Amino acid sequence: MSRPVSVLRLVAYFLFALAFTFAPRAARAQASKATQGAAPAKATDTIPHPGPSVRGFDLLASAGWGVSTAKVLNVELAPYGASFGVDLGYTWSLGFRFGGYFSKSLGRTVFQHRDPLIGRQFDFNAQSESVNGGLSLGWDVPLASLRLRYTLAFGVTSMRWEFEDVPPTAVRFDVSNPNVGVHFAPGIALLWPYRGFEGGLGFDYLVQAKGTIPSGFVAKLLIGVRP
Amino acid sequence: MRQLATSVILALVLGTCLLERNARAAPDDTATNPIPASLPAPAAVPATSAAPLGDLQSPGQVSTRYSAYSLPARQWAVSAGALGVGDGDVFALLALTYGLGSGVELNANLAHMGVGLFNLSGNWHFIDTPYFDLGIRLGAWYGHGKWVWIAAPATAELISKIDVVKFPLELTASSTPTRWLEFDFSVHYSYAKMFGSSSVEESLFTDSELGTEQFFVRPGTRLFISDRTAIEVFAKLPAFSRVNMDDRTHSVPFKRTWALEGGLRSRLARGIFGNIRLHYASVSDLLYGARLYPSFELEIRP
Repeated sequence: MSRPVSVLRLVAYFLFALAFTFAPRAARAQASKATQGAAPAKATDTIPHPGPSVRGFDLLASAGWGVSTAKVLNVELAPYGASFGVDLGYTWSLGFRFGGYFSKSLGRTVFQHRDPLIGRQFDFNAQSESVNGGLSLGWDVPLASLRLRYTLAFGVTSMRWEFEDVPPTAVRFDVSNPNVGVHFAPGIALLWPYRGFEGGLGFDYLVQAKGTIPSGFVAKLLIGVRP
Repeated sequence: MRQLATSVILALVLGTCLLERNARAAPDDTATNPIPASLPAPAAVPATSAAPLGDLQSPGQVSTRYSAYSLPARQWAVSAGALGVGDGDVFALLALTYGLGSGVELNANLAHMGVGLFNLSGNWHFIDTPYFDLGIRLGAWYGHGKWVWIAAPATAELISKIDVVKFPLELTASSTPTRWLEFDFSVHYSYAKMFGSSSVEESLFTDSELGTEQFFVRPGTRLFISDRTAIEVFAKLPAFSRVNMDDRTHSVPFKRTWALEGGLRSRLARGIFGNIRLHYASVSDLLYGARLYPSFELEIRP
């Protein structure tokens, strides 16, 4: 995935196809709602309508903790750690949700030791943090009084990194700073809607396409509103 | 990786289009959208839309992955997904499955065929009782290294002189003691052999276990927490794994082949199923660079 622009183009194609596919459905749902008061002209008009608890916008704020699941270039980086974010989306009547998200991860510092074949041993601290943003596709499934939300997000990660006490060349970490790459992120959230509010728990797994940004697992608490 | 992303996105686009077509053919899921009291009586609803949806253990909705079950007669299923770790869905999944009747189904992963790995499998659900079921799955794989165009140049060079054949055979018992619980237990044997020359044993075929002769058991449990959602947990416990080359054989230790997975499967709407799983396995590390890795799948049964 050395050419993020190509990937983003593909993502754009996909989102276009998705919007093209679902927009007529949403329009039909709205039109159908408008004719609720009238006598049904055809049997198809009596198709059940969405409940108000599913359809509409929602805005979620999240706070959580993320861990890297892999080393990059033999260096352990932790660009996730404490993470905070927002997610705004619209859910259609059938449960499909389209949204956008942005999150900031404070990251943390990782102490590491090197014992090279040539030269002296040394220790260093690798500090990193990241911001993530993108678009997400989701589907809400009722689960008793809760809602289970499946998501698949496509976005961009920008990771800043810094090594204390040693130059990057000493650990052969020759990557740009900030290091920008695309990611996609399957995730699940369990939400409890209560009147105009909702809260819950969830996770996202950020699969980083760029090999120099570690993939990560982010667990999070969610709280939000449904106007 | 770019080609993989292309395949995944094309698969998802195809899946989305099929999804919409399916949704047009069938009304919205009544379980999601209860009928408001102000609407006309259900008698006005066509008979097809009044049909009960059933639950995830119904014949038309039951998961055929790692279970004894097969699709009902004349039932199609299209599955699209990515990042799997099993040899049937490793990297990318765009599978077509068709129920022939009498408990028999055929399955092929077109995403793998598209990159030069030809595969076909069949499942026969031959014991079908209310509490106990048995199914047997037989498959055939053929991979020609030169045809795997998706591989990076270095990998392509490595596997260009290798052919691989594999014949997986799996007997699965499924038991549903209650409406909310299912136990599955599979006994699996794969015969695999790699032909041709390679300077090293590590390759795309061995990393993905496509070229690995293996015997393993796979116990699993599905907990149906609602009529639309199930929690699924499986463990893969190999008794032996080895790579058979032309001139030598290498054993692969248990610590590199065992795997755990847990996930959720839901009916998103009528005929549409979503599945997200987390895997913990050495094979994930080899394939994707991390032991803990997710996979996802969207299945449409028109």
